[in-house]
Amino acid sequence: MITHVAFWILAIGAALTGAAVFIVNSMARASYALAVSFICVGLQVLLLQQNYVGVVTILMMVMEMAVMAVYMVMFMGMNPALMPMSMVHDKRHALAVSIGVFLLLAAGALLTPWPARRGTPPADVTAALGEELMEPKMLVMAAVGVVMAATIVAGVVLAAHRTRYDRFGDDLRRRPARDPQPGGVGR
Amino acid sequence: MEHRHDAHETTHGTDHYMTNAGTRGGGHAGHAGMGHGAMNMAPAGIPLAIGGEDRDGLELDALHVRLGPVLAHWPAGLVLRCTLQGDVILDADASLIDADQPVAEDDGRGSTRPLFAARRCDNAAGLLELAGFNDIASHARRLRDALLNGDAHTGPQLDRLARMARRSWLLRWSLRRLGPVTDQDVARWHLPDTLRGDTRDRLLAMLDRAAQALAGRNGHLVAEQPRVPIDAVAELVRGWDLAAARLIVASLDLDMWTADRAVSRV
Amino acid sequence: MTVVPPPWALAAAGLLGLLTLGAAVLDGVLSARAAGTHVRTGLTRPIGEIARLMRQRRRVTVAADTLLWRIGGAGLLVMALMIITVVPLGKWTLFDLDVGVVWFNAMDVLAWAFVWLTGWGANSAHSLVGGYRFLAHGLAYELPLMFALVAPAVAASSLNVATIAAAQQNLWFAVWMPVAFLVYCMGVLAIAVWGPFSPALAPDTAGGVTAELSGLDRLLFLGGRYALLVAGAAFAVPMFLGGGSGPLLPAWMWVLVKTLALLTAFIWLRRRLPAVRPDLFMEVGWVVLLPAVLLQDLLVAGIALGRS
Repeated sequence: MITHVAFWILAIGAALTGAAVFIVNSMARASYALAVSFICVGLQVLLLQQNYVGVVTILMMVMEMAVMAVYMVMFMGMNPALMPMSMVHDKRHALAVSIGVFLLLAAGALLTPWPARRGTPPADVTAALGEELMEPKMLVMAAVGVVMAATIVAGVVLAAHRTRYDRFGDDLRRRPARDPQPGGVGR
Repeated sequence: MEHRHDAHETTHGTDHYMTNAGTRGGGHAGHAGMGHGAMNMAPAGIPLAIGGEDRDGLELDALHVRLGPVLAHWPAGLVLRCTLQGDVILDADASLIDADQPVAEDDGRGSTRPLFAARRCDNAAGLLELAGFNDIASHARRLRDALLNGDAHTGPQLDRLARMARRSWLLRWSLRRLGPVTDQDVARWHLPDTLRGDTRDRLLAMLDRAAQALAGRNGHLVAEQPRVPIDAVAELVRGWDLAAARLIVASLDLDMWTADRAVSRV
Repeated sequence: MTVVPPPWALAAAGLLGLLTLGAAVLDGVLSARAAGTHVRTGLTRPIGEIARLMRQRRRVTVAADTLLWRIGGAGLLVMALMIITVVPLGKWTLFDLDVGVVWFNAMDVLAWAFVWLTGWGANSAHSLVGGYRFLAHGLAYELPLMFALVAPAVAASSLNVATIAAAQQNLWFAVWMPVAFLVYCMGVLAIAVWGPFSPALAPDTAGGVTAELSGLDRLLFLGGRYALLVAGAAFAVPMFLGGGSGPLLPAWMWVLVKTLALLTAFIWLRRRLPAVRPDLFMEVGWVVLLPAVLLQDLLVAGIALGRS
């Protein structure tokens, strides 16, 4: 009973805050409406007994929205990030497409003949889900995670505005480095 | 992204960007409700900001923020009109409030040795407080009060304070390489010699001057006070972030504008 | 582990409130001592401050985002309450979650949202700078903190807080994974915007995120910081300090004693350490702390593997 009530409250909450992303007129509100929507979804995942996945969803999404707040001010060019503004591009088409996709997915979820439960759920549903998703490729996936992190770091290094030649001079011998503001390690 | 076309009632005046409130405004003052402009140029009466090149190549909005004339741990009366991008000071313009008023030190009290030392301690306390060294700052403040009250035996206390500041490697880590003043800078902006070095050097020099004044080693006190040309203050903070700029200004040991007695803050 | 019925959450909240008030009083006493004023001033000051802020009228700023501002101000206290739900007090717990460590992590990340929102809402330059200073800190402390939380979980082969506490019967994790413990403590100071991690609301930005906070919002925000220190200290007990284990006293008492000890250390540290400005700390976090804590994890994983 409580599960049902919680499910519906969270489901409606997720949908409403998701819609709010496009209705509110500030980037901050849109970002955090999205965060709330994801928190609702994360809590719903908890109802599936996927505790780890649910809590990690909350963790990642809140952090992501905070980082987005950084980027929206840094890279949104002129004022848009800090000005009241509309959050939608091509309003009419976007609305049509998104409602269409929502109906399609909802219809799929409602009309699919879901199989009846066979047997009992395993003791550790999170581990079972992971194995079900990528049993033979677990090692590959674990390695890909590290490679992706390394790629991101390398990408940032390559894209950085200032290189070591700017800091240490053409012969890389200048000490201390010429920085706009000194760092904490004294490199 | 499209901006809303709603014509906004500008119920507030444009004076907001003179205060700190104008985060989202400043710079170019567009007329609200012009009709054919693509954007609402002044939400809540705050004019639109204009972006520009900055130190880190981010093209952030230029924002106008005024520091002073009244701010905790800030030389009273100094006003810095800063153009910020993010929290980096792109440009600054310094001025003084009541610059034409007679300076307080001329009333004869400003030249006594304990008062001179007390002012150095007060400025050091402000700098230490800004850098977050609460305990050493409390020391400096108590010493200042003792000096103002005319207590005896303040000399050893002052030595102890200077020793604490000199020995703290955390203080060194926090303040070194901040706002360096080279020989060329001293010559170019006609700065007093005592300001040479980084913020930490200037803090230690400040405490040294206090100790020398108490010991009676410096002859004419008023000559010893660092006279910093007002424009040099603006030059020194340019290119630093807001907090670093506060530390640099505090390290300049400015006192021609401070009141005689400051209120003690815990 | 006994899961107590939900009404006990009120008792837990009350205990959190008491410890929070205690932390504020202790800070007041230490400040008064350093300033050379009477200790009684420090004792009564937090109480007076609460009364003053509850009566104070809220400051209004131009074009403030009031909703987000209020949410940010009240958020820290909510975070602290959510954290203590998974901390076992002796053999009782409110919420015996199998992924309690990740729960703590998810809650501490909320600080990113709440502190920034508090800075954003006021529409003031200093507040916003403060908010971004917190995020800059966050970028440097969060990864080391996450990897510091990994170490006890790996050593105990569990994400359940009670299991981790039980795995320290012989030796506290704080003893043989000191780097992880220190980085965790740093993380707690950081989410509480406390001591060295207070540049987000420091005087060098005229109060930062608290520059325009007033009245009840200010009370909730500042109280939330103390509450987060309490919750962080309480969570460290099962994670690193052996949970309720100890001689003579009952387990719940030991949890309280250890929490109080760590809390006192946190409060005392504020006056001892300088502010680590984000421009200084960013390099420290990435160049020193992250590799150090990763090495710690490697070491712990090796030992855990050798044992099994």
